[in-house]
Formats: sequence, structure tokens, C-alpha cells
Amino acid sequence: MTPDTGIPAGARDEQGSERDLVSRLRRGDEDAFEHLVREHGGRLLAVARRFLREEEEARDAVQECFLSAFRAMDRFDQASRLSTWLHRIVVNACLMRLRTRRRKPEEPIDEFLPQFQADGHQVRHPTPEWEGSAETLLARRETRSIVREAIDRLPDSYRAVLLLRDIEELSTEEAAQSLGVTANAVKIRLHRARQALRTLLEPRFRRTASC
Amino acid sequence: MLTCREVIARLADLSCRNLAPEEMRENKRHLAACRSCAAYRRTYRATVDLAREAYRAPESGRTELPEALIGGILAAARTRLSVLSPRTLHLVHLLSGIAAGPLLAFCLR
Repeated sequence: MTPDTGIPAGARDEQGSERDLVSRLRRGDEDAFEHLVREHGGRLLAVARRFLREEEEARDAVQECFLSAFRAMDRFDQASRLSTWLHRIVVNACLMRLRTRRRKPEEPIDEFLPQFQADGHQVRHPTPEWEGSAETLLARRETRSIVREAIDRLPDSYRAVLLLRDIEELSTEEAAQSLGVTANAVKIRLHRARQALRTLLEPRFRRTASC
Repeated sequence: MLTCREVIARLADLSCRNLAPEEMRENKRHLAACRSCAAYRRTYRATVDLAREAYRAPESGRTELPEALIGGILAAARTRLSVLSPRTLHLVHLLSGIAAGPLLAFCLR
């Protein structure tokens, strides 16, 4: 740490190198463009794949993201890291595509929600326990892919909220703004998305009766 | 006493402690008495934790952008974002060379 800035030298070097990259990008430096794409593209594609189930759409979203970023480079105020800024752009690009897609009727989620009798008790009684906590289940190699496949089965509007809140870790307000809905709508959809995901995961993780 | 429907509807709020103290107590009273809801709550929390971990890729390493896509992005950027086409840019450079002499003389006066 230096007494002047209070910022560790390594972090200052990184900030400096990012400022230099942004300057070069603003000047239209093609090598800088390529560096940006190679440095951040893989991570952005991973994000796009979570939102958009089709590989081609995910790649298109990444392309849109970079083109938007190049166009808006002069307006990037560097208050956040480039990676954070690009991440926000690609998420918005994905959400725009999902909104366009939602003109088609969406699969209902009700069948994945818990069912209740007239007196308010659960229809399914008792609820089966699972084979362990999340930590225990994650020790198995296949668990993450099982969970990802289940998330992919959720209807788009519910999957988007789950991804924004639980995976991308946006706040309720940020998610609401991204989706163009109220904070209350986000809360309701998130709860339903989690309940539906729980239903989808139960057959894979429930404790089997021992003899 | 709250019903299972009411307790399960509030599970997200219960986790975030967004309920008033009396509501929290009522929910906890129901969960202590209802094995089914207690199991549902445990598996709901496990679901949230699993979702949060689902995309953290430990062994698989980082995603690489395919070369074809990198090429496509750079080509699209060159086509759509260049203010001047290469031909026009060449013309500008040529004209600047021709005009440089008189312009420099004007500036130095």
C-alpha cells in the first residue's frame, strides 16, 4: 500500500492498464478490440448460455453485447470495472431476446408448484427428505449438471428471475429494473421459480427408503 | 395456527427475516409442529443453495469463445462502427498530405 492512494500497487496497475485499454478502444484501436473480445468473451458466453438455451442465440447475444459496448465506449464512465459493465450489457441483451421470444405462449408453471387441500394442508404428505444438504449433494460430480438441466426446464420468465437473483446476485430492485416489472412481481416469480425448481430436483435427490 | 399453504407462501420472507416478529414466531411454531413443512423448508433452502452453486465451474475451467465467433465479432465491429470506410479513409489521408503544406504554413504565420 502506498500512503498516496491507499490502493495496493497490483490493483493500481490493473486499473491503469484498464484505463489504457479504454483509451485505445475509444481511439478505435483494432488490437484493443480484439484483446477485449478475447479477454471477456468466454465469460460473457457462459452468462448468455444460462439465459438463452439455444447456442446460436447465446452467441448472437455476445456479439450484440460487444457491438453495443464498442458504440457506447465514449459513455463508459469507468466508475465500475469493464468486466462488470460488459456483464450488465450481455444480461440486458439476453433479456431483450427473451422478451421478444415471450410473444409465444409460455409453459405454465403451476404443475411444478406445491398443491394444497381446501384446508390449507399440503396434498403431498409427508414431503420427502432429500439425501443431504446442498453441500453434501454438491460433493457428487453430476449434481451441478442435474441442477442446470432443471433450471433450463423452467419457463423463460421464471428462469430469468432465478438467474438474475440467485445466480447473477442482482438485488430485487435491480432485477425488477432489468425485467421491466415491479419489485413485488420479482419476489413472487422468484419464489415460484424456486418452488418449481425444487419440484424438478426432488426425483433426483429425494432419500430413497431403506429396507 | 397458520396453514401449510400460508407458511410455504412465506418461505422466502422467512429466510430473509422479512417478517414481523409475531409472524416469524407463528411460522416457526407451525414448522416445529408440521414435519412436512419442515422438510419442505429444508429442501427449499437446499434448492436455493444448489442453484447458486450450479454455474460455479470448479474443474471445468473457463469458457473459451470460439475463434469463428471472435472473427465474426471483429468483422461486424469493423463494418458497423468504422466512421469512414477504408477507401474514404485512404482519400482523407491523401488529401491531408496534399493540404498539409499550406495548412502548416498558415498555422506558423
